[in-house]
Amino acid sequence: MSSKNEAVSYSVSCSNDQAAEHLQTLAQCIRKGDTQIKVGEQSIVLNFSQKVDLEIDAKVKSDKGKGKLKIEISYKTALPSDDVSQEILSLEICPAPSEQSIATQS
Amino acid sequence: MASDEQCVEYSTTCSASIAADYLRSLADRIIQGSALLQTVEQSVVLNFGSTLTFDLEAKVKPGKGKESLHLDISWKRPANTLSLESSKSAEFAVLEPENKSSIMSHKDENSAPRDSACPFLTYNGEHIKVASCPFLKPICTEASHE
Repeated sequence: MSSKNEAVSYSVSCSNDQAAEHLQTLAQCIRKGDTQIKVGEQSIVLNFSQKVDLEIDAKVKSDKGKGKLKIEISYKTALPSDDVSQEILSLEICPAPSEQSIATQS
Repeated sequence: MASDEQCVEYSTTCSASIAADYLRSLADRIIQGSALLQTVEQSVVLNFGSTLTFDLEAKVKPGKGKESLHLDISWKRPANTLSLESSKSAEFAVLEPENKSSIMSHKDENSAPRDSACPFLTYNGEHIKVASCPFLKPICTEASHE
């Protein structure tokens, strides 16, 4: 059994629709429990645990129009699949208010 | 002068399906162009540009029994430089391990599925289809394509 650390990464510049589809695909893989990610000749198999650590870090520089959203999903592969309670995130993701309504509020 | 930077940080332990739902919700918001991320204490409005940079890193540490998936999505507005990379034969695949043999390596753009917004990464209910993506820029590939 290999105990070597493995990593695969890639970077792509894409449209909103493509990025969204990318996320949807990853979501499906996470739900299914395992996935293989292949970049070029390298590939890695992830066996998602039913319990994961989710970290989200969003930064926006409004004056520069720049933004970055980091998402990390990590888990221990040896965790038992039981004792997973359905939790409700206390992080909401909602439609953004229109610029007009923001201006009105301020 | 005050910096016009807003941020939201959030971490939790949750079921994988909740994390998947989050990614799906985020995908919906990206399509719509904006999102409000809100915790009890912080909130930030994300106005996505028309072009995003999507970084993914997957790590497996068998010795520690740990695996992780890192996603970085960044943008800059106004994004009037829709410059999709045209690297040549990069291949990217996300699929179930048992379907390794079903990887499709499209070298010909014409053979890639056309009915998807993301032709290089489509899901048909059975497995993830893989197609060569001219936009992909692998950054951790040792092997060179011939």
